[in-house]
Amino acid sequence: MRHIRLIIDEGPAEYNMALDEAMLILRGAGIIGDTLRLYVFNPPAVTIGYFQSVSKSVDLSFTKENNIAVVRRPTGGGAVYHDTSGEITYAIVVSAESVPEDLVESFKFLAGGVVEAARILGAPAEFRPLNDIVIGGRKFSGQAQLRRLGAVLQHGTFMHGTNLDVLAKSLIVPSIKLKEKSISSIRERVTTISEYLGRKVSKREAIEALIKGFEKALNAELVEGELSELELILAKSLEWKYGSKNWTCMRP
Amino acid sequence: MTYFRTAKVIKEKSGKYVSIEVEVSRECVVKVARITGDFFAYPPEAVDNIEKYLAGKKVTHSLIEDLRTLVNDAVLAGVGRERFQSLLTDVLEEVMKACRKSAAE
Repeated sequence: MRHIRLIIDEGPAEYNMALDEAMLILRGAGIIGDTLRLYVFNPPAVTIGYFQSVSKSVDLSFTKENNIAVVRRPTGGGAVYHDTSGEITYAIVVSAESVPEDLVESFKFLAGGVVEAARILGAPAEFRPLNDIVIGGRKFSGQAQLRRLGAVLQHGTFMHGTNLDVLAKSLIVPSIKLKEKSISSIRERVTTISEYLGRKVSKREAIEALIKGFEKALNAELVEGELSELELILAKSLEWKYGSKNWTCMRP
Repeated sequence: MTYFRTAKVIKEKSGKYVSIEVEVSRECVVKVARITGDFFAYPPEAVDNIEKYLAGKKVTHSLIEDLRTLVNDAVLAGVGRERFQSLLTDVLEEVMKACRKSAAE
């Protein structure tokens, strides 16, 4: 059976984005093996997609007042609120050869663990192209992906109990998107596992479900390991970028 | 000094949107070009290169043609390549029209 290293982690946004990029580079160079990292953003943060305008995607007054960090991701896609006590992020790095060549199919393949995890907890989750996972038509998980050096990094969210009011106040959705969906605010199109089930799903439960979910979806055994010194050194050297205003505001 | 600024947005069936904003001087030279949205591009730098290529250049038909090669360097997801290309062309043609009007005044 295929073995995938599992890292369970927690840290600030700039560390998380730097480590994801470091792992992609090292996986591409063949220095590390396939790895799944499950992590929490602490303190809470908003991450925005590589191409997004920061001022048009995030309510910067609200995030500042509420000590929510704002960091640009190395991956495309939309803005995400990462609630320290209600959201787990996954990042998986694998070789590009091991995922479908078609981009949408690869999103779906690597997000399979999230779908399975939600189902284990009792929520009938489904993948919705391009990169969302929904329960009853409402999104609780988004995925983003970057490919370099023959390797793929996919990271995504798992909202088990995110405070959706804070999410709705932190993110700005372009009116062109709300209009098409015939909704007046983002709150109407998102949910959490806890909200769907009508009971609180703990962080521990969510992590256990994700581990089982990814094992099933990838037909692999996850083996808990540790980050190498090289990964940590490379991540440290990339942290300045993710912590800098120049990077996050490069598309103001 | 910015003489003319325009921005156009498209929303794709995939749910993704792209906005292209261009600012030019009275001489029709690009001061700023910004391509933003929640789409995906591989490598992401291919889209950065379009913005960088535009900066400091006079907007002409041949510039628009040159950009086709750069657009072709990007693998786009969430937005069709042809839609992306025509959005870029629409924005730059609007800029050229404004510049011609200025020259005629």
